[in-house]
Amino acid sequence: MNVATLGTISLLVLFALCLASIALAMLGAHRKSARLVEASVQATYAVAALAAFASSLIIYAFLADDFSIQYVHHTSDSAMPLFYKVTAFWGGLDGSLLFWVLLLSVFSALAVRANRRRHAEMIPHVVWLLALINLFFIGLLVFVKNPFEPFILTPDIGSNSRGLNPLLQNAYMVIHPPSLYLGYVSLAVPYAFGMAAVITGQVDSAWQQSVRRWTLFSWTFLTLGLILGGLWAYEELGWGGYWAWDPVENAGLIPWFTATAFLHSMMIQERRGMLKRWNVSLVILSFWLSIVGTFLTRSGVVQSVHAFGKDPQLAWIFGIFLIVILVGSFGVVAWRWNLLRSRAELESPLSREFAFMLNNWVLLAMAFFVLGSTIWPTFSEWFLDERITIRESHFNHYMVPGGIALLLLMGVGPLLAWRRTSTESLQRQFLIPLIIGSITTVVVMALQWVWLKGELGGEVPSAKQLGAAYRAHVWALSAFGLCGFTIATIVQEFARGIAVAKHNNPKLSLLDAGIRLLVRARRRYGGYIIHLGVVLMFFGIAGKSYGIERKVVVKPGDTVALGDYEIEHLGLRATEDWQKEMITAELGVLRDGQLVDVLTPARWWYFQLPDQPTTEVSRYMTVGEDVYASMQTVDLTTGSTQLRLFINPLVNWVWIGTIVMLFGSAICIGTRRKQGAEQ
Amino acid sequence: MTASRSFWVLVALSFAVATAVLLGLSFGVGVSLDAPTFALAAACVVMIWALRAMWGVVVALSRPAVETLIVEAEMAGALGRDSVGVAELREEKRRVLRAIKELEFDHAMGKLSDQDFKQIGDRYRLRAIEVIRELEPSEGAELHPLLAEHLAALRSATGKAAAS
Repeated sequence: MNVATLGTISLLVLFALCLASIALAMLGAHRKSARLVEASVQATYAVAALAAFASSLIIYAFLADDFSIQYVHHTSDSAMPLFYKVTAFWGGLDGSLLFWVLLLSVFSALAVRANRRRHAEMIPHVVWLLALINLFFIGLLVFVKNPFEPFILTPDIGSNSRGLNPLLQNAYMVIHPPSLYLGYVSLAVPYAFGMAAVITGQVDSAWQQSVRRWTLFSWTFLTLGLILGGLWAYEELGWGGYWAWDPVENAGLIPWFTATAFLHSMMIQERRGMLKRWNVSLVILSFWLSIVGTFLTRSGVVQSVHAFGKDPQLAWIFGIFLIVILVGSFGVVAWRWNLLRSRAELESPLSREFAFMLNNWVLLAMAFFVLGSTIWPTFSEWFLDERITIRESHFNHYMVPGGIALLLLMGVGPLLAWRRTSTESLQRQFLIPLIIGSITTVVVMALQWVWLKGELGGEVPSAKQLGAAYRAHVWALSAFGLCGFTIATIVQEFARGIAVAKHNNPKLSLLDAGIRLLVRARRRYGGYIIHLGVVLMFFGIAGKSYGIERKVVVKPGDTVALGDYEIEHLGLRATEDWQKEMITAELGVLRDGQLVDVLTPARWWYFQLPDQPTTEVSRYMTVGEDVYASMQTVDLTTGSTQLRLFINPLVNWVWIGTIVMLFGSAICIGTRRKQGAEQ
Repeated sequence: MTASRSFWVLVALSFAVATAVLLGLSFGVGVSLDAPTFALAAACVVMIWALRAMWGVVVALSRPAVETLIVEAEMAGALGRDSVGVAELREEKRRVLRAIKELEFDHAMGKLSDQDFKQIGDRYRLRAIEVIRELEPSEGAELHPLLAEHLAALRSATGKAAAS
């Protein structure tokens, strides 16, 4: 028996086992039969193990260069490095669906194992819901996209295998898709628990405690996946930016918005018993949007450099699945509508819950705006017979004010108390952040005055010129001011928390009090660390507003000015290795006449895809800015090189902010035992 | 055999099989120990796990009737009671107690005036007392009958001692 046959059999058994798991769990829940429920739980574990077996088979097929399997032939070649052969598993459509099944099966097994005693009544429903989602994807593998599908004839196929797209042979691309998949797939767990809670009528916040860490996990991996995708685009595509509102990038961002909203709104239900309907709706939407993301990436309904290609059959299947999820889930919510009523009401707009609700509305509005704008070109093509292109500027026009509103709420929310905040308290809480925010804005405006003076060759700018400059950068100035305000809020929260800890136990040192605060109230202070990371990201994003871009054609020996730098073309190098031909330009980066770095942007021509050269970017990185160069075209006879040169101010703070965010998430995810001690 | 012990036995068994496959391929067939060979050994291990897990379904379905009845009785105990109402009350108790702690922390941080702290805190404390009182009978009912009997005897003994 060959690998293709064994793999196909394992998928068929997987399908049957998943069906059995659904039947056993439904019957077990209906008859309240422990035996059937236990069997369905065991079937969940078996599905996970069998999915792992099928995945290990396809990895073996890649490593053994088994080109009798079509998927292996299309996404690998024998010359590819071992590392990329393993990652080619999820590099194509069929394999990515199997990877999806593997992750969902393992997550289902883990979630069921962790909660089967705590939520005994919910578990059979959780089992069948997760198995039903899994069944859909396994069904796709069995009937539509079998990754083990062999060639009917076995010609000499090893010699002309296509291999993994060279653009994807990049370290970021190795981590980026699995991160996004981890984020997408794990959103199924909160969905299943939310729906099980509604079905069983256990709609208090207990189910949220079981899924809070899962949602944080999803959120963390979605964040990581999105940022790594941005970093890949920044280093690989050569257009000087990291985010261009590409439909596939948006597909990951949309559920990120709703997951962020849910992480905030679940706190209101926990503390006040409010927003039960809202929270259930948010988990449904987050999961639904994760499937929308998968649909957008795999069906080809949107045009993107990242998409897997057009597949109308998949588009229809996913479309029907999306409608079933939406109608079924909200149908159940409508059935339990009265049970989901709130136990408390909003007491004052000057309360933290109101700030959280505003944050939720803004996040949801952003999610639906991005979703609408992403699919509008497709809809316009279907209904108006004309594909309307939505540009980056359209997204920025609406999303930048939305982002600024979120930044403001991030600074204001922690300063407000639950239920209501008194006037004296407002004054006391807001005074320092407001002063710091105002000082930051004034300092940034002063710096812009200095920058403008430099631009004018030392001449003092007129009021009109200064006004025009401020108007052009109004969002960046607001962002910098709000960054100052929000950082002051976070520092004040830490300082006052430490003061209270020290007051309660005067023997503690400052450091001990800080650590104690982080350990005992991980969720609150971990959340503040995440906020700090977001602020740093906003700081980096706002810097883009002051960027410089130049497109130049230069020959060896030429020098061009770029902001405070000069770029000197030092020459070209043509090299070759076993995989590709490379042409590299050497560019000297000079500041005040001194050589500070040599950039080496390049073009690579892979032998397997000679008509798709890749752009290799080179950067001179500092804390304040990046000097970024990419080579567009090159004429080897004359040495004439077309370059795109950029100064990207503060861009590295986006990556630093991400690391801080991930650190904060790790602190939050660690919460469990000390919940009672949390503040 | 306990569940954790059977787990470790399975881990040991799978590694033994993997080693046997590798040694067999290497010495028996003369295959070189490269990446595909290791992947094949790993696939064998995972296959053992998959078969073990499928066997788990059969075991669960063919569990002896008495054992199933005991588990089902426990489950019926968990499901049959007015668990939704009690769970909601417990949840509210936890939420109110946590809210009181939070209120104290926010007050200590200066986010609440003394007046607000007293007013809101009193309302929470009142609700906490109500919820705990509502919960008391059902929490007592949760005790094992023998333990409840023992507690009742203790109470009466304490009462008699106090009376004398």
